[in-house]
Amino acid sequence: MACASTSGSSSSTESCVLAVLEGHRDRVWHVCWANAGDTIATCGGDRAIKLWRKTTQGDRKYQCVETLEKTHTKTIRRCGFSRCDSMLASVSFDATTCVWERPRGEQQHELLVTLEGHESEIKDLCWSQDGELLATCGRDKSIWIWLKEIDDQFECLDVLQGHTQDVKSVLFVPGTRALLSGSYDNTVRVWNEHDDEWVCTQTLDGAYQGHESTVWGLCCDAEGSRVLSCDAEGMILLWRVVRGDTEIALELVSRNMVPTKAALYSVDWSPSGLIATGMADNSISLLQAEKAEGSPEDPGASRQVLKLVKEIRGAHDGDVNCVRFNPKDPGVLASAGDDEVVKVWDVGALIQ
Amino acid sequence: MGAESGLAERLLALGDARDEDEVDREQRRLEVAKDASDLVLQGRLSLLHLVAMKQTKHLLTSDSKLARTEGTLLLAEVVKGTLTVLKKHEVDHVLAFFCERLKDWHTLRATLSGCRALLGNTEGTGGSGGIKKMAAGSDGTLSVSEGTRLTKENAKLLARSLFEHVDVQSHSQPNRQLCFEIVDALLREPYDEAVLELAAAGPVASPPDSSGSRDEAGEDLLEVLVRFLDGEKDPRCLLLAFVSIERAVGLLRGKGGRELDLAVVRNAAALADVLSCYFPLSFSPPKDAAKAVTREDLLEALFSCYCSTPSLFPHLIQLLEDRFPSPKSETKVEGLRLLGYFLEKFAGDLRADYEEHDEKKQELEALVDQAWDLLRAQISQRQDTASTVADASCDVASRALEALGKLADLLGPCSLKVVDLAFEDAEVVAALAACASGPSGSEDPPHRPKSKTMAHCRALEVLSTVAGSSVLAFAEVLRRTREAVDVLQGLDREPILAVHFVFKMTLALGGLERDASTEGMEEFRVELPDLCRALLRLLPRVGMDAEDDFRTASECLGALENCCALRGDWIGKEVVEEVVMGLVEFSLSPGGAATEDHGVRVALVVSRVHRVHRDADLVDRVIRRTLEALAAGGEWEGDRALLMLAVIAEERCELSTDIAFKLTHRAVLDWGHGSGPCSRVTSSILTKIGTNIMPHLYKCTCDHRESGGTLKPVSKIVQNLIRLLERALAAGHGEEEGVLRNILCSLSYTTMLCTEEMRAEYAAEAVGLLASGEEALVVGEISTSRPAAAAAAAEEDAPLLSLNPASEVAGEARHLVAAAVLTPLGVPLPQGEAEDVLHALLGGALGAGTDVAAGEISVALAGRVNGLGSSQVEEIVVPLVTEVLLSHVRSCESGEGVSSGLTALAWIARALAMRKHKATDAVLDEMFSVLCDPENKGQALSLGRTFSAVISTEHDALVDTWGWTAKLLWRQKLFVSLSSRLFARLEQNKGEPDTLAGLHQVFSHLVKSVHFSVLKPSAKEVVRHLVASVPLLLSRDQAQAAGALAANLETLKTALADDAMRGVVEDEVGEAVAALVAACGAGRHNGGRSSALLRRRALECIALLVRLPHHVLYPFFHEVRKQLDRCLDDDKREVRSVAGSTMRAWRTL
Amino acid sequence: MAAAALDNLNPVVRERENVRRREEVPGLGSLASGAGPGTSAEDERELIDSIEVFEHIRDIADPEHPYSLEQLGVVSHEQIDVDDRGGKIEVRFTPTVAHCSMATLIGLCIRAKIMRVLPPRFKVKVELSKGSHSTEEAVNKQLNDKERVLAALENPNLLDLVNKCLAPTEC
Repeated sequence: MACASTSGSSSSTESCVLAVLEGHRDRVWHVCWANAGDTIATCGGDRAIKLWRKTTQGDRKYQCVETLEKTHTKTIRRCGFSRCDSMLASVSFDATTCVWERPRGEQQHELLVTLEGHESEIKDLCWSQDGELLATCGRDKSIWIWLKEIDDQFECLDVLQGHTQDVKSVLFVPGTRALLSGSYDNTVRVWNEHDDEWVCTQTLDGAYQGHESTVWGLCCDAEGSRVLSCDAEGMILLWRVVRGDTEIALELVSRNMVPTKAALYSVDWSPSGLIATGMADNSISLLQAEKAEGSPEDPGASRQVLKLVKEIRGAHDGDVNCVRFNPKDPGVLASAGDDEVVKVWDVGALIQ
Repeated sequence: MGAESGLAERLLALGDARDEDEVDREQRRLEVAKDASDLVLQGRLSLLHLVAMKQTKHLLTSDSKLARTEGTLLLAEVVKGTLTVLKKHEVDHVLAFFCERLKDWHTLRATLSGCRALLGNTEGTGGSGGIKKMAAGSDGTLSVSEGTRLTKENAKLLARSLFEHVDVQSHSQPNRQLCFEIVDALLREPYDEAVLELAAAGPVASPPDSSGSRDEAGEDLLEVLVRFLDGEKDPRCLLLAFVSIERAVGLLRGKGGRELDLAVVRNAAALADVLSCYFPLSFSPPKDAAKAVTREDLLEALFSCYCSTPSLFPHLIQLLEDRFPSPKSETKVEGLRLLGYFLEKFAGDLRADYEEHDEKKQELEALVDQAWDLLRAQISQRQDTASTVADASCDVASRALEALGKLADLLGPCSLKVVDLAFEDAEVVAALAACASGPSGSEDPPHRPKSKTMAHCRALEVLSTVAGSSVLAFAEVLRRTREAVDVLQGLDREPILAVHFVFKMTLALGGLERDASTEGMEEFRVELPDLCRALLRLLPRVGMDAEDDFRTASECLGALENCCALRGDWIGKEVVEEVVMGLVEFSLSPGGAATEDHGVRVALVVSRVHRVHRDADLVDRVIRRTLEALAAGGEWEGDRALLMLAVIAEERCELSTDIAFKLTHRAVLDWGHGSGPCSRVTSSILTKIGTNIMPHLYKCTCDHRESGGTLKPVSKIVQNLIRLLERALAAGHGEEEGVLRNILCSLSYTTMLCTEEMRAEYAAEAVGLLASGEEALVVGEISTSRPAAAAAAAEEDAPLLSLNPASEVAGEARHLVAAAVLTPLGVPLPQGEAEDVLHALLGGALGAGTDVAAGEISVALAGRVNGLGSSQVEEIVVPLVTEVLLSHVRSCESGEGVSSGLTALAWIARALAMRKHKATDAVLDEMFSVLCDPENKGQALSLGRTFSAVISTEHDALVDTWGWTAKLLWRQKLFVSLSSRLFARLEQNKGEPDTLAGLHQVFSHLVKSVHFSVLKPSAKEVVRHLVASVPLLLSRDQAQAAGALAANLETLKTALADDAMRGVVEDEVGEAVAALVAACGAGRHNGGRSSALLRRRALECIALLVRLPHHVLYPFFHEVRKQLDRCLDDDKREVRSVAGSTMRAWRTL
Repeated sequence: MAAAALDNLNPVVRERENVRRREEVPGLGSLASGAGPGTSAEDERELIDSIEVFEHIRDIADPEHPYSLEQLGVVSHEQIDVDDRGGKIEVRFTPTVAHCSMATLIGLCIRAKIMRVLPPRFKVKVELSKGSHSTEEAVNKQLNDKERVLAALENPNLLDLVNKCLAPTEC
C-alpha cells in the first residue's frame, strides 16, 4: 500500500526511503526527533501523538511504540521533546498545551500537565536549550513563555504581544534565552529577555527586505550562528545572528527562492550543515549554504547563499508539512505529509 | 317498576342540567333515551305512559327552553328507537305534539328531528347521487325498518304545520337541513299522495307573517318551497331543495290535474327568479370530504329543476340572454347544456302547445327568434376568438349548433319557421352569395381572408343543421338553396364552401333516411348521382396541397362516403359502384393527386360500403383493380395498392383471407419461376403479408373460431407461401433474408389456422423443400404439423439444423420456433408422434454445431415437453433424458457437445420445473454433475451460463409463448430445490476455483431470478456466498464473470438495504468489506466500462454498509476511507460521483 | 456568526443554467455523463473538468440568502480552472456585493465541499475574482492558508454553518 501511495515519486528516490511510518488516521502535521535520535514523535489531524522507536533488529526500521490520544480534542499541531527527552510537549488547535513525562525506567508517557491560557489554536512550541523554558504561540497573536519549576509545575513567565496576526512559529536561539517568531503578518520578530521579561527588539518585515508572506518555519544551525526562515511564497531567508553582550539581533544575509515558488511549510538544518525544506508541492528539497560565487572569504558567512543540492519530487502524496533531521545522525531525515504517513529518508543515498 | 322509577329520577335530572355542556347532556340524554326505548320495546312501558309520567311532562312543558329542548330531544330519540312498535294512536299523539311544537322556535331542532324520526328511514331512496351521499353522511340513527308509517292524515298535518310555522331561512344550517330532509321525505313514496291531496285542496300554508304574502289565500306548495329555497347557501340544503322542488313540480304536473299544472305555471316566474340566482353555479367543494356534495351534483340538480316544467322556457331563454355576455366560456357551455336538456325534454310538450293554442304560437315563435339570435351569436363568435381559447369557443359553438338543431326540431316538422330564420340570417345569405359568385370566370380566385371563409362555413353549417332537423326542413333548405345558388356550379366555382356544405348536408341526410320519401327529397335523390359525379370530378383538383384544400378534399371524400352509405334503394347500386370505382381510380392515379391519407380513406370507404351494401362483386372489382395496379409494377402504385389492400383486409375480416390469398398468388406469379431475386414489389407484398395481414388474419380468425367461423382459402394461401418459400430458397439468402423471414412468418401464422390433416400435407411439401441453411426454423415450425416429417427432416441431415448465428433470421428463428412449435392451437400429440418429435428435435439440438442453434432447438424441444400430457412426460421425456441425452453428454469429449447437451438439459429441466414435475430434481442433479465435472472446468464459466437458462429471467419473453406466464410460482419452487443443491456444490468444490466460478455464474442468475423476499429464508448462505463470490469472480477476467459479479453485487445491495438482513451481514462484515473494497478498485487501471459498473455497484454496497452498527464498522473505517479517497479519483465520472455520496455516508459515522 | 442584517437585501437571481460538456451536447455524441454505454472509450479517463467541479459547488446555499451560489452568480463554471493531470483546481468566486462579510465563509464552504468530494491529490486554490471585494487580499490569504482553513473546520460553530450551506449539494 505504501508503494502504491508513493507512486508519484521516482523509483530512484524510492530506494532512499528507509521507512514509511503508517498509522496516523489523518494528515500528519509534525514530526520531531528525541535528542537521543532513537525516537520519533509525530502528531496530526487525528488528535494523536505517536512515538516510533528504532527497532533493534535491522538498524533503521521503526515501529510505533506508543500512542498518546484522547487528550487533545482537536488537531495536534506540533510536539517537541525537552532537552533531556524526559518530557514531550504538544500543542493543539484546542488551545491547550500538554506536557507528557516518561518517568525514569518507564516505557510509557503519562500526561504531566495541561497548560491553558491561549485563547485559540496554538500553532508552535519550542523548548529552550536548557530545558527550563517552553514557548508556545498561536492564533491569538501572542507568545507564552512557561517556566518549568522544580516540582514539574509550569508557571507562565511572560506573554509576548506584538504580532498583528497569528504566530506560526517560535524558536529559542540555542545558547540564549532570546526568542524568534514568525507570523501570518509576514514578519519575523526577535525577542530579547531581561530578567524574565521578553521585549521585541526587531521586527523584520518587508521594509527590512524581510518576508512578504506568511512565515511558516524557522530554524537555526547547530552553532546558533545562522537562522533560516521560510514563507508561503517559496522564499527562504538566511540570517546571521549578531550577538551583543546582552542581546542578539538578526542581520539578513541572503534571500533565496526555491525554484517551484511553492509554499514552504518547514525548514530544518542538519548538524552537518545540510538544509531540508518541506513544501506544498509534495516535494522536499535539500540545500546547502555556500558562499556566493566570486565573493572573497567571509568568516562571518555574511555573503552566503543557498544552493539546491537535491530535489525530491513527490516525496509525499500531499503537502510536506514538516522535515526534521535526526540530531544524532545527520544522514537521516524524517518528513511528515498530508498523505497520513511519515517517511524516514537516507540522506546519504539521496545526495549521491 | 323499579326501572321506571330509576328512569324517572334521571329524567328529572335531565331538566336542570344548565351547567353541563352540550356533550355531557347529549351523552346522558342518549343513555336515558336508550333505557326508555328498551322499556318500551320490551312492552314494559308504553310511549304514552312515558309521556304521561310527570317528570316527562315537566320536561316537555317546562318554561325553561333548555328543559323543553331536552324533553323533546329525548322524545325524538325514543321515537327513533321504538318506531317499529308504536301503535297508530301513539304516533298520532306524538306527531300532533311535534307539529304543535313546530311553532316553538327554541326547541325546533329537537322537534324537527322528532318529525324526521317519525317519517322513518328515507335512506337510499334518494334520487340524485348527492342525496345518497348525504343520506350516508347524515346520522345513521334513522335506521328504522319500514314498519310503522304515518297515515295520510299524519303526513298532511305534518306538511301543513311545517309549511305553516317554519320559516326555514331564518334557521341554522342543521335545522334547515332537517327541514329539507323532511320535505324531501314528504315528497317521496309513500307520502307524496298525501302532499298532493293537500296541495290540491288549496293553499297549503298561510305565510308566517300574513302581511308578507301576496294574497290572503296563502301560499301554495311551490310558493312555500320557493320561499324555503330562497337565499339558501349551504350546498347540502341546496341540493335537497332543488331535488324537492323538482319532485314537487313533477308531482303537480304529473298526477295533479289541470289546476295544479296551472299553479306551476303561475309560480314559474317566481321559481325561475330564485333559480336564476344559482346560475352560473359558483361553488368549489372542500377537498377533504369524500362524501361532500360536488359541483356536478348541484349543477345536475339545478338543471333538472329547470327542466321540471316547460313553463320555464321563456325564463330560461331570458337567463341565457343575461348570462351569455359572460366572458367565461364555461358558463356558456353550461348554459347551452341546460338549453340542450330542456329542449330535448320538452320539445314535444312545447310543440303540442304550439299546435293547439294559437295564442301560444306567437310567443313561442318570438322565443324561438330570441333563442335563435342567442345561438347564432355563439356560433359565429367562433371565428373571432383568439387561437388560445379556440377550443373552448369551438365547444361553445358546436354546442350552440347542437342546441340549434334541437331548436329546429322544437316547432315540429310542419313548421318551417327556423328555415325562414336561417335564410333571413345575414351571414347565411352572404355565404350562399359567396358560393354562387365565385371567381367570376377569372383565373385567380378571390382573395378572401380565411376568417371570412370560416364564417361562411359556419353559416352553411347552420343551414345544414337546420336541414337535419326534419325531412321537411331538409327539402325546404334544399329548395331555397337551389334558388340562391346552383350547387353543382358552386362546386366548380367555390369548392371550399360548396363541398363543406354538401358534406354537411349529406351528413344531415344520414339521419333522415328513414322517412325520406317526401317529394322534396325525391328531387334531391334524382340529383344525387350528378352531385356525386361532380364531387368525383372535383376530387383530383382539390387534392392539392394547401391545408384548406386538403380539408376540402377529405370533406369531399366524406360527402361521397356519406352518399355511398345511404340506403341502397335510395342511392342506386350503380351509383355506388361508380363512385367507389371512381374513388379507387382517384387514389391509384399515378398523378399523385391523392395522398396516402386519401388512399387509406378510400380504402375505409370501400370497407364501409362493403359493410352497408354487402356488395361482394363490387369489392371484388376493387380488389382486382388494385391488384392490377400492383401488377403494373410502378413503385408508387404498388405501394399505394398494397396500403389500401392492407387497410381493407384489416377493416373487413372476411375479406382479408381472400386478399391474403390474392396477394400471395400475385407474389407467386410475380416472382416468375425459380431463381432470381424477387422484385421490389413482391418483397414489399411479402412484407405486408408477413407483418400486417397475416397476423391480423390470424388474430381475427382466432376470434372467429369461438364463433365457429371457418375459412377455406387458407389452404390456398399456404400453398402459395410454400411456392414462395421454394423460390426464396432457390434464390438463396443474402438480401432475400428479409423476404424469407416474412414468408416463414406468414407460413407459421397460416399453418396455425390449418386443420391437422392440411398441415400434414403442406408439411410434407415444405420438408421436401428443405435444402440447407435457415430452414431450421421451418423444421421447427413444420414439426408441429407433422412429426414424421420433422423426424425425417431431422434425420435427413442434422447439420441442416445449424443456424447461421450471423443471419438476421437466427434472431427471428427463436420466436418462430417458439411460436410455431409451442403453438397454442396445437393439440396434444398422440404417443408415437410425440416421441418422434422429441427425438427429432433433441437430435437436432445435440447435432447443432453452434450454441445458438442448440439454444433455438432446445427451446422448441422444451416447449414441446411443456405441452405434453403428464403421463407422456413419464414415458417419453424421462427415458429420453436418461438414455439419449445423458449418455450423449457423458460420451462426447468435445466441449461444444457438452455445452449443447447441457443446453438441452437446462431447457428440459426448465420445462419440467414449470410444470412442477417431480422429475425436475433428478435432471437438476445431472446438470450439476455435468457442471462440476473436473473434465469441464475449463469451460465452467460458460457452462454455468448455459446452466442458468433453467431459471434465468432473460428467457421469459421467449417462454411467454408457452402460455405459462400465469404459473410464475414455479420459479420459487425451483429456487428451493436449485439453491439447496447449489449451496451443497459450492461447499464441495471449495478447492476448485474454476468450477466455483461456474457455480457462482449459476448462483448469480439464481438470486437475480427471484424476488429478494424469496431469498430471505436462506439468507445466511446467500449472503455468505455472495460475499465469497466477489473476490473469486474478480479474479476471472471473462466478460461472463463480470456479468455474474455485477448481478451478485446488485443482490448484495438489496440484502444490505434490507433491515432484516443486517444481522446476517454483520457476521460477514469483515469479508464483505474486504471484498467490496477490492471490487471498488476493480479494473481501475484498465478502467473497462463493465468494471466501472462493478465499481459503482461495490461503492453503493459500501454506502449501504453504514446501516450496520458503528462499533461493527469502526475497525474498517480507515481502510474504507482510504479506498474511497482513491475512488474519488476514479477514471469514470459515474464512479466518482457515487464515491462522493458513499464518502458522505461514511463521514457521518 | 449569522449576520444581523443582510449585506445585500435584494440580490440579482439567475436561472439554474444547464451546463453541458461538448460531447454531451445532443448531436455531438452521447448525452449521459459517464453513464450509459459508449460515453467514452472503455479505458479512457473522463477527466475531472471545470464542469464536474462546478456541479459539486453550484448548489451550495448562500449563508444569508435563500438561493444557491449559482443563482446568485457567485460561482460559475467559467470561473473554475481544472488541470486533472497536473492536480490543480482554481476556483474564483464573486460575492454579490464588494463588502460582503460572508465572503470568507462562502470561500470556506467551497473549499470544504471540494475537500470532501474531490481526490485529495488536488492542490486547490479558492480566491475572490479580481476586484470583486474590498478586502480581497486578506480574504484570499486566509482562504489559502491551509492551517487556518482546517482549524476553522474544526470549530463546531463554523462547521455547523458550513454544513448548513453544503446541505443542498448533498442530495
